[in-house]
Amino acid sequence: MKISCMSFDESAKADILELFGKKIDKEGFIVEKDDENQKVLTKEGEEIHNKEWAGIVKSSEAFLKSDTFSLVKLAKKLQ
Amino acid sequence: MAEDKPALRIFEKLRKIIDIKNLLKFEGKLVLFDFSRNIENKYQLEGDKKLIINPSKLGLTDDKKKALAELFSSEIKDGNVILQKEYIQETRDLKQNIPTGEDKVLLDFYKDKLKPEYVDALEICLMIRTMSKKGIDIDKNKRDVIKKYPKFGRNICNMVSADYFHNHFKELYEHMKDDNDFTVELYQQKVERIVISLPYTVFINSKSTSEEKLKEIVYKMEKLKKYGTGRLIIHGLGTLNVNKSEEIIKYFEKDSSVDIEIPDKSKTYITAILKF
Repeated sequence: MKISCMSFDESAKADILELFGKKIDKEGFIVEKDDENQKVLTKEGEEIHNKEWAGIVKSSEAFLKSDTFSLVKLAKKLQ
Repeated sequence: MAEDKPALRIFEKLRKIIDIKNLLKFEGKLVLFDFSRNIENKYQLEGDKKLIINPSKLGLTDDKKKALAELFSSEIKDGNVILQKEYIQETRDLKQNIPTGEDKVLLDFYKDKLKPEYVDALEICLMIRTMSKKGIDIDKNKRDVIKKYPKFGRNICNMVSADYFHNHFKELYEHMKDDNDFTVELYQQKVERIVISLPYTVFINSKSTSEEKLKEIVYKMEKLKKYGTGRLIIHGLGTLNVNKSEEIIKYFEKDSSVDIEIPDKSKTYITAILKF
């Protein structure tokens, strides 16, 4: 696994989410665009607030949290 | 350069989605594509290596939107991770500081001796310690440990940076394992008690004299009294430190305002609680 040449910043989060059929609900959580009641979950089954979303990895578009523990798990998989 | 190839592929695909014909001369040079609304135009060059694209200004048709979505999806399917740029450097820093060498050996030592959440926190704290030594900002990482483990995260971080896991807890294991009633659970409980009670604890070591430690204890007791806590724990490991601890405890035996409790004592380790 490698870090892509493509990235985004805080201001473009909603645009990138839209490309993946997701959006941010009123409380700031990432949800399915077609079903606001369906919150997007991490591989660990945690809901993701917009503020703590870091990016997307393989395995059915897994959404990644930005806390150190999640980033370390990712770092261990990187080449 | 090998890293130019995926960038070239992305550039080729982007050209079909966004009108960037005037950037053809940068083909092969551009290696980063960042999506941001913080630019005024559709896109902007940063140096000759980075292209910033403003998705809100592109005015894409549905077909082009779909093509852009496919570009993102294909990046992920190819095994890449798309990150918010603020976390790219942090992820790289973490990768470079995953415990190796002595720290890896230390982590392996504790893997079957401490609870998984303690090992989890210990690993990150070892990384924080290494990064901190290199001058990397570790505030966010430390906050994350404290947030995930509010009961002991801060103390583990402080104890790792003060070498307690490199010395004291390893020695504690060596001393405890020879006891007849030793179990890993007993060791876990002892370590957890020490970690959680860190602000109320003084470790007796060979580096300081009994007088110096006594001064430290008296100072700490004054401070704890101020905050309404009338309890201080003294830990000593090794015969010399046990003797030193006993000398200090003797001093408080003369003080009627201090009650002494000694829940753990052997020739090689001692825990005493001063209540005042």
